[in-house]
Amino acid sequence: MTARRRTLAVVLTALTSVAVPSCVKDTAVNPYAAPDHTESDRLQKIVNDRPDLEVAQHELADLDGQIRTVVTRISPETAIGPSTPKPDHGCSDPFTHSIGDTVTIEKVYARPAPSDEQWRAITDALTPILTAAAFQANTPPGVTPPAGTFAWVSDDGSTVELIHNAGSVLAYGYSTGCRLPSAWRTDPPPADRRPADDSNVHYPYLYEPPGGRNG
Amino acid sequence: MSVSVEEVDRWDAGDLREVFHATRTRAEAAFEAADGVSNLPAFDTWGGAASDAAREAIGKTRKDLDAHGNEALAVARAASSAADDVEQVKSDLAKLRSDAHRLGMVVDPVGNTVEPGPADTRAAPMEIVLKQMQLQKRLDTILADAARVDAELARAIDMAIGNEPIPDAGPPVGLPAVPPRETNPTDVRKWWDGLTPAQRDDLARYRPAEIGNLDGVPSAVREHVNAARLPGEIGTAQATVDALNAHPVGRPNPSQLDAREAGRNKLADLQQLQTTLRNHPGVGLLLLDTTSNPKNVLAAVASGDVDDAKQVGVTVGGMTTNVRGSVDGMTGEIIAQRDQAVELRQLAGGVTNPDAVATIAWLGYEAPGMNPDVADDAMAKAGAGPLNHFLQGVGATTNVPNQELTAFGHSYGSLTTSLALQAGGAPVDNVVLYGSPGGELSDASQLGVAPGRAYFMDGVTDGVPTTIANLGSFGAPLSEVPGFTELSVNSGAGLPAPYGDGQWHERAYGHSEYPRFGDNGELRMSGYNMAAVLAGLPDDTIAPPQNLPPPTIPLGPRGFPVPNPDYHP
Repeated sequence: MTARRRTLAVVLTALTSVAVPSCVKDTAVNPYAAPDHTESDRLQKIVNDRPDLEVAQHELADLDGQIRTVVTRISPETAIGPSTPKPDHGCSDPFTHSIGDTVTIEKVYARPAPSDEQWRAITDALTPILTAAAFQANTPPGVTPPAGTFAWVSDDGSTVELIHNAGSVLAYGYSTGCRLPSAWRTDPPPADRRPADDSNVHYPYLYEPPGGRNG
Repeated sequence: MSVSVEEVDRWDAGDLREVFHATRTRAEAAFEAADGVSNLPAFDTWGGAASDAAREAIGKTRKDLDAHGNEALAVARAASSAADDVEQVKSDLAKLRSDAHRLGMVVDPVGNTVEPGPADTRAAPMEIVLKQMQLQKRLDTILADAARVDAELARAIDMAIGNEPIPDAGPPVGLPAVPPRETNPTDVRKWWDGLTPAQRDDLARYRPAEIGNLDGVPSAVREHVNAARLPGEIGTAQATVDALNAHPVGRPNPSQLDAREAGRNKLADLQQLQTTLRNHPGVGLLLLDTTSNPKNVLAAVASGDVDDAKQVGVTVGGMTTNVRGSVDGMTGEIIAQRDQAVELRQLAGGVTNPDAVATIAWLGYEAPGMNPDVADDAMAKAGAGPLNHFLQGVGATTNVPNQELTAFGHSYGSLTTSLALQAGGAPVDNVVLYGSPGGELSDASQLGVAPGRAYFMDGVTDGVPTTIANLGSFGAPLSEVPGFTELSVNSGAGLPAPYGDGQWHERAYGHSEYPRFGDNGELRMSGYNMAAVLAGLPDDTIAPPQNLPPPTIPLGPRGFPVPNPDYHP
């Protein structure tokens, strides 16, 4: 065996040992590979089980109004621009290969920022509102976020965040997370939103019975 | 038909220039409308027989608009050419008059002759005849030119009013030659800046593949040209695949099999680009190269205004990366990276133009698949040259005097990036290599960045920068190369504003998670750190945690290693 062949064998063996803990998974070495069918179905079921995209949009639009009301009441000098949805379609990790869509607003940078005292009053006022909407702090249990960061997540994947830099700016944004538009439960997604290798997809978009995916 | 001096005196090139501008504007409007019609999203999503009819009608409308644009362009060119010629004839006539005056002669505008001037009537007859012979010959030449110009002008007018058919426009005569692709991007920029707007428009229209892929041409121009090229390239690739399918070979030889696979792959690459651009409006196609590589389409996509961005990042993918399989994911990642960098710059306060950030996913080389190629640096070396040239192009086209450019390289792409920077000349300020099998260098200074500006990240449980890098096939592991700064990949919070976002960022485990989102919807720590470097805010980066508990603890009298319940990297 030549030195080159030996190196090659060692590299491939090592690569395989790293990439294949128990079985071959493309996703272990390829960041953009689709997960296997079992994992795809697991993720799709999460998306399917979430309330429709329109429901989350409605809920977040309602919260958006309440957040703006609170900020304006406590820090009237802070000018908050409009909430504009980002133009992108589809879902992000871990749902990149799932069937679904996301509505995320462009981050709003409001100036002048509230004072520290106003910021505390704003977070105090918003905490019960978000708690009532079934949101919780977007940090692991036992971890307290920095005082200027007010990030919340709902059980079904919606996020709301406000980040405060006193004397400078208040950043604000929200996202629905990956969800199914209601129409996609009864009809297939529009043609340009279907996977290139699976143009006949339909609800519930699973590889396992009752099916809906074949690509 | 003859033309008199009197008529030439009445000619006005300015009037013709107005005709040129008016018809050119008309042509551009028609082309823009044609492009708009072909890109109407409704016709991509509409299905059924009605949509087929609509597509056919839209196709005809587009052709009509294109034809109208070409006709207007032809008239514009005729008017422009006539204006140039009129100026030349009038200039020649003025010079003749000046010379005649010096010799005591005058030009008769009605008789089209040269006669003795009032002060020259007493000159010797032979002298007058000699002067007349000399000058009349020149006047006759000028009037012959004037007659030709008049005929051309009449033809342009006939075309404009519909009395004469307009020939196929085709590339205009005198279209400037496009520099070879390997030309230094700075020289390309100078060449481009020296062109007239009309020449740039003509080159974009008639040499789109060359202009769209030429490093040194402004990014906005390349993005516009390449987006317009994409439908045509898809049509060509589809026709190739259809032709191969229409003529099946009984037992194809290896080269025929390769051609078939390449045809399918290139079509899939182009179709995926179209899908990605549709899913992410605002993302630009900075590179669309269908010919350099026999197997794949090479491409680069950009988020943000590259030429006006203060901070620009270029990400190079690694093993298994190609356009059809990777461009959609990479595009999502560069958008997220840009958004996070903008947020950090906004939160930092006092940063000028905090939104001036652009990110690029560069798929401009053939990366190895999961095969023996990955154990060899040949593909990295082959990609390093084009990457270096591309980075120089980003530097050449910037409108920002102190642009800060960051190169990101993942996996095998980190080797490609390292080799590209070691070649020198790329105006890169920061480099971040992650999940790297090695960079074939012994000191970070070989990358050409300032001390402290070269970073690396090794993902939790990622065997590539550890197990594989330790084999030494591509030099020492980056963790052992002097001059590199390690960034955290472990779970933790960003620093509070203004030195971070204060958000929780989950760890990056394995080889694939570095630029992805965690389960909480925030970028993983590695992605956060890359955004901080991109943002030009190194103080926002998070260093690896110190004194982590061991991942395993010994159990039993023999010390059998078992997972440590306190290990939460």
